[in-house]
Amino acid sequence: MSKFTESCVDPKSNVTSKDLMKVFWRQFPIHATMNYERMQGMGFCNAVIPALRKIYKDRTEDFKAALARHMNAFNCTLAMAPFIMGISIAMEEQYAKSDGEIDPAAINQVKSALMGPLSGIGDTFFWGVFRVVAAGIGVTFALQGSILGAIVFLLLFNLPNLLVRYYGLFIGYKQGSSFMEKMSKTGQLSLITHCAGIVGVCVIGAMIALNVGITTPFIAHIGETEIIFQDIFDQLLPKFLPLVCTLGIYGVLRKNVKSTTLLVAIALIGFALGAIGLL
Amino acid sequence: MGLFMQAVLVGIVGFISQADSKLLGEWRLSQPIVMGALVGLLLGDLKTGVILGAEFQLVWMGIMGIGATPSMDVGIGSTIGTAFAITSGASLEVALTLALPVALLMQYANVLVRATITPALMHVGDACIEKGNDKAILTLQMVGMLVFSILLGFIPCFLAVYFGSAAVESMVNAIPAVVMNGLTGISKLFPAYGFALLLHVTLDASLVPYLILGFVLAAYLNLNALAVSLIATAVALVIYQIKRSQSAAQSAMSEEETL
Repeated sequence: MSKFTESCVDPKSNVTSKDLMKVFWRQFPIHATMNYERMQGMGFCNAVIPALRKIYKDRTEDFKAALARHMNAFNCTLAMAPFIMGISIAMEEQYAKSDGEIDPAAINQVKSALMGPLSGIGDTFFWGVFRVVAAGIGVTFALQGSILGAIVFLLLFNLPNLLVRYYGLFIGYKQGSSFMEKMSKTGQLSLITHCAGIVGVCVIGAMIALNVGITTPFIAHIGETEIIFQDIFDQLLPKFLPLVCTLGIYGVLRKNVKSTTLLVAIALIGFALGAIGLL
Repeated sequence: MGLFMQAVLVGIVGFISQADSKLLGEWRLSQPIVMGALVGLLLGDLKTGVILGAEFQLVWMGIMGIGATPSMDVGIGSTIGTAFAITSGASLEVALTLALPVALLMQYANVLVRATITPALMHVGDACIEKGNDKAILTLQMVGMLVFSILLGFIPCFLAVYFGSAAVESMVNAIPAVVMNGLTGISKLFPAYGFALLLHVTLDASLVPYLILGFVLAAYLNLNALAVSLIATAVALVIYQIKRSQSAAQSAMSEEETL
């Protein structure tokens, strides 16, 4: 085991860094029994089992109770879940040593309290930034027919994906929820989110220009003169139509129109405009 | 390669698309840029697969799996769409038109599984824990993974290619020009919808300047996505350092005041 993982565990504790590595491997299929009743509940339980086995060695009833505890409802951006698992394992350890002084309900309360905010941050990073930037760069290659596009995309996305899971689990275990508290108290958390947003939004702006290929073939004939509409738009502002259409649809979305309704409406409008030769 | 073999191979890609989240916890193999390449690789037309994958990626850029409700299944949609393009010679516009209802249908099928089969697996898990059988939980998780990957991955992709390819091929040849133009219109507008969805999730007032910056860098200076993301990273680092030193100075000030 590496220096880092060793530094995260207490040598006196029953939970070794090897056990935490088992948890690391078992957190990947957290989504496997996703359901409406308790979402990723069983996935969470499955992941922390190797640690619980060590904590409640020879205490069968307490072990069962702990397993049942972690079958509770849980739902979080997948890459952020290991951090909460680390915290939960640390709390289970404290509870197991406390001779019933700590209320075990607190463990699930902490889980529930963390999954909302962490999902918010996680969705911004993993759906809005890492995926978008990786896809933006990958698409550049792929549109030219190169397999490199898919490879670059997977490498760029999974580097942060795996690092956040790995360090999340161990830091969560070592520092518990104090890590989160410190991060949000000093404003670090919102600053990092803001800076990630800068990269994400900037690349989205570029991709609107690069990848939204809206042009019009429409040409008006007035007497002898031809008016090519696309030329007029190009002189006005390069990539005028992609920008206007994207911002227009964004404006409609902000009015809380259901996205599926809007999808159907856009399909109908697109079809009509295409059929009459405007798109 | 026979049709049956093609259908099996596309079915395997469909399996991978679901197993990506259910076994690996979302390594994003199920994003269209990867699915298209895999379909192309297995069906022996890598180039078409890679390009279709990229086009589907742009069209579905804004579809995100956020929260407990499944979103449109772009992995299966792009798999089947790309397969039709290769087996039946469908163009991007036609492939997109076929993939869209598939992705929507799979979303509802996913809701069904999450409401019936996986809750049942979870109750089996509860009973096992009561008996102290903790080993069963990993098995149940793997059963859930297989249910999703076979039922919502392999089977729909296999069926679509095996029974659909001939129908799609005859349809592709019979589409009148005016309908084709309409489909072109749809495929031009959809990426705008995708990026609007993305903005809806990521944009707030403080980030508007960077949206303008990114657009101008690409539209006027013709920089590609890699160049823009590097510039954006540099800007983000500068902003980070400025804000950090500001807050450090502020907390130092307030400490002096309390002294």
